[in-house]
Amino acid sequence: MNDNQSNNSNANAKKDIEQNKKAKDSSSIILEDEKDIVLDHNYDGIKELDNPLPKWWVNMFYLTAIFAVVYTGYYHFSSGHLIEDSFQKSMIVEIKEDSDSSTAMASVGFSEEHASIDEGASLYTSRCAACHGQKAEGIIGPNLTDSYWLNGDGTNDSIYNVIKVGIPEKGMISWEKLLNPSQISSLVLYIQSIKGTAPANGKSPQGTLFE
Amino acid sequence: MNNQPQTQPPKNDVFQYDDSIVKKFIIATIGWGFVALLVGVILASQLANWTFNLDLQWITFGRLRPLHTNAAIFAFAGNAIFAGIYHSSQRLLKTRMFSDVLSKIHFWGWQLIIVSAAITLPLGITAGKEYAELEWPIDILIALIWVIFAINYFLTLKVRRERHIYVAIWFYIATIITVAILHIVNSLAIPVGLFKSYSLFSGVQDALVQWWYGHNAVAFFLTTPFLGLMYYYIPKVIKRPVYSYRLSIIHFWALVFIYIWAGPHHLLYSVLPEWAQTMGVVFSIMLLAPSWGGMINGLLTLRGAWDRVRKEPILKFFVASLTLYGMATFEGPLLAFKSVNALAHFTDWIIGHVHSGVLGWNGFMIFALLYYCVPKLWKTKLYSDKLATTHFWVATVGIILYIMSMWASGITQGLMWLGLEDGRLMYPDFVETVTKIIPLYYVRLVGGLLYLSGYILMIYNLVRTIASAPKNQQPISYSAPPLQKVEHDHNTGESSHRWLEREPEILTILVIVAVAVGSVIEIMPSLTSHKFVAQETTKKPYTALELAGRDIYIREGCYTCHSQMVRPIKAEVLRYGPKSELDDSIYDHPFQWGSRRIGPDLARVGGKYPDIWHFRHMEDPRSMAPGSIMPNYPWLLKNNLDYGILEKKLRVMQTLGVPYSDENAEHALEDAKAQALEIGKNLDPSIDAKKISKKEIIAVIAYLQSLKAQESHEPSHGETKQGH
Ligand code: HEC
Ligand code: HEM
Repeated sequence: MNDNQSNNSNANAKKDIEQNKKAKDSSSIILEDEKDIVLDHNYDGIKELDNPLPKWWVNMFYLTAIFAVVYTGYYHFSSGHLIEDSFQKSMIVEIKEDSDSSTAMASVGFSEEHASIDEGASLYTSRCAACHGQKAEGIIGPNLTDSYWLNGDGTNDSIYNVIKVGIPEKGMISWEKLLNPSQISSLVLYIQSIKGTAPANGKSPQGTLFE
Repeated sequence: MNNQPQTQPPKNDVFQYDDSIVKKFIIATIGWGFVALLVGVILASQLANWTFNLDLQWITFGRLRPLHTNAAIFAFAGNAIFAGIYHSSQRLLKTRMFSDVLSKIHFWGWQLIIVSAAITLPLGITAGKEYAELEWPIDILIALIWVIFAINYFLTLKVRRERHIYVAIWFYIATIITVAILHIVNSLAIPVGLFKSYSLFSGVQDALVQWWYGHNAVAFFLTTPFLGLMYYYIPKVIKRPVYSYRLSIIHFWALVFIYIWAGPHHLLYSVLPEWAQTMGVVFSIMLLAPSWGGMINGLLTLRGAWDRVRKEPILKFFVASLTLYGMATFEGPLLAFKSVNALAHFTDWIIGHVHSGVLGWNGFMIFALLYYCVPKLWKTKLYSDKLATTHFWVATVGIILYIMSMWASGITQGLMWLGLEDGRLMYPDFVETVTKIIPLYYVRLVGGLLYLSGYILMIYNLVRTIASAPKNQQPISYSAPPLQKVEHDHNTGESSHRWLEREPEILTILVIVAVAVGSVIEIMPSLTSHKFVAQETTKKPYTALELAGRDIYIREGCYTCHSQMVRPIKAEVLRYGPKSELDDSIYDHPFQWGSRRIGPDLARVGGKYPDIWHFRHMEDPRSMAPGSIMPNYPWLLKNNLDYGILEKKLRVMQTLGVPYSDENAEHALEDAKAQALEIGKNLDPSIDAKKISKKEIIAVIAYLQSLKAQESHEPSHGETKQGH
């Protein structure tokens, strides 16, 4: 403790005269209640106080450490809380729900109840036009305005089904997870409504003719 | 101390500080800071409106984002740290830097690194690891320059005239040591050519090393050196004693020891073993107190001078910087909770968190340093206090807009991704979750513009200040007695830490031990477990063409927007497909799990769309996904793929342990050409298959189509192992 004191005061005393003034300027302003706790450290004029660690801070530190133990215990030393466990649990529920909803869906099928051509038209532009063309003339996917069908027979139920499950291996994705039943029905209505419009640059017919 | 033989007081040395090196670093800071912020604003505009990608490959988001992060961290913050370290250390140690030549090499070497980064990153030359994108020749240069800096620094400590080293110096030492270790380990790679290398590690192992590095780049590049600067500049400016010496000691050691463990909080819900994830979480939570220790020691040092905060812009910057530091280090542990991270990870919330750290804590600390040092070093007065105050307010409003908009955007998007209704996704269309937050991207852009405007005010202010400096300044001479040898005597009542403060070598060794413990415990087990997986897996390595496509994916920085990690969360599995497994990425040198989902996850995109969909989508994303904000990649349809290098690439992969046979490597070229032609034919009758199969786009399609779940985890029909 004391060897550096002599050292520092030594250094201070020996400073150049011009520096001396500066050093005084830059030395710390010590408040009245701090006089007793100023340490004899001096680094380029910086002093340090010997204040104790704030109590709340120390408690916070302990609390986080205790929490760390509890947290680890919760996940690793009590059963069923690992990420994998909760995931498996959520998926079991999923399968049950799924079987409910898929039977429910199957019974829904095509239905005009909540469907509308307008909704179908706007869905078509945003989701389908990329592959089937703005006017359904066919690009990657086939022309949807003719009466030739590669899949199914062109009835409402058949088109509904194609859109729902898709033909993934041929590049038509399944829309089941992206659209709800009434939206798919709207698309069906829209597709039926444009039949025979014979747009320019239409792709030549593919598949079988169904009248 | 009186038991020391009282010979004559030693004769004083007369010496001068090397301030010209400090001035150089200051000017570099000011310049690079402008570049970093400008690039940031450009990126913000690209997310708000994709057309700002301008269809130019060099400035697409994926290539520019690494430039922004590197410029902000290593050029802006880096130069500022060096300026502060050179300025304060000389004064705290009462000595000139050991060698002016080494200082100069450090300065010019560092600028060379930055310039190389600024050239190579837009060209797509990248190692593909976040915050460590620079390719191997630059990595080696960084290591060299850093070692030169370290040598110069430790020799300066040797020739010091102040017996004890101050807390700021402890933080500088921790920075110098740890950054060297992190950088070297994380950059280990095998070169394929001058501008291309493959990380030594792969998959989960690479991820762990990368985030051990990444998180501690935050810790030891953006936190410890800045705490050092804080401990010097706050007491200097305010002329008040540091609040608590004991707090300095405790929070220093706690911070250095605990930080290194927290890296895995970047990998929650990934395929990293859960014990490692939990360790990352709990150490993140325990980081709260050590971090706040620094903040309160700084804020309480300002005690009794609050009236001056109202008047002096420098003090305003200090207070706001520390407050935002406190906020970021409260938010960090919060984000590290598994349940919070499930919502926040991959969203803009993280980006908001980062920027309260860098814009607030780091940025404001740097501004305070510049406003203090420039007038001091150029021996004049600041041109305008008023302008500096305006800078403060403009920047503060900028930060608030930035952080608030990213919170809103992150939480909105996080909730939309996870939203389920009757077991189905509420927002199955990813693009819908993007268009929803576009308005917030505009708010962020405004925030960024404000911050940049404030910065420009500062440049003007500082330039005017420097211009008003008196000419022909004489360097000031200082004098102090040389250090005398003292024998350590325990009877003097000196505390052991006080003793440590005059033994910097031992302090350095203790720092190394403190950071080594967490590093070894966390990283070692993963290295072994990975080998185990490698022997069991049925995963086939990429074909030569897929590998070429993957390298283009890395070059274009797709990972800055797309993750490849389907987390074990129901909504995620419904959206993307089967959750990711350890062996999905086992041959990925480097891993590409990503940290942000500006676009959807791609780990399961293979087979989801036909080849022609990808072809059209890369050329013009909006033709396939209306509303998308992804840039166009027309050059992929024009550039020819470099088939010649494929054999070499496979050979390097072989060295890294990927099970390619020699035959695979020899036939790399023909195999790739055959596969490319197949894809070309598959596209569309109107496209010339032969011609198109030479192009880069085909390789990208091949790679994307290869990203799938493993068929089955039980080896099905005998083909357990190929290669050896
Ligand atoms: C990624 C491109 C793509 C998108 C997007 C797309 N389709 Fe298709 N679609 C195809 C392809 C390719 C086929 C042909 C499949 C085949 O060869 O059997 C097809 C076939 C069809 C068929 C059956 C045609 C027939 O002749 O059997 C219908 C109906 C259809 N799509 C409707 C839609 C609707 C409605 C949408 C929007 C919700 C849509 N498609 C979106 C590519 C697409
Ligand atoms: C107690 C201190 C802190 C903790 C525990 C902490 C924790 C975290 C967490 C949990 C993440 C999110 C990881 C993810 O989900 O991807 C993160 C990201 C990040 N934080 Fe912090 N943080 C702290 C302080 C800071 C500070 C002070 C800064 C800046 C100076 C900062 C900069 C970053 C960066 C750059 C990222 C990475 C964004 C990315 O993934 O690309 N953090 N932090």
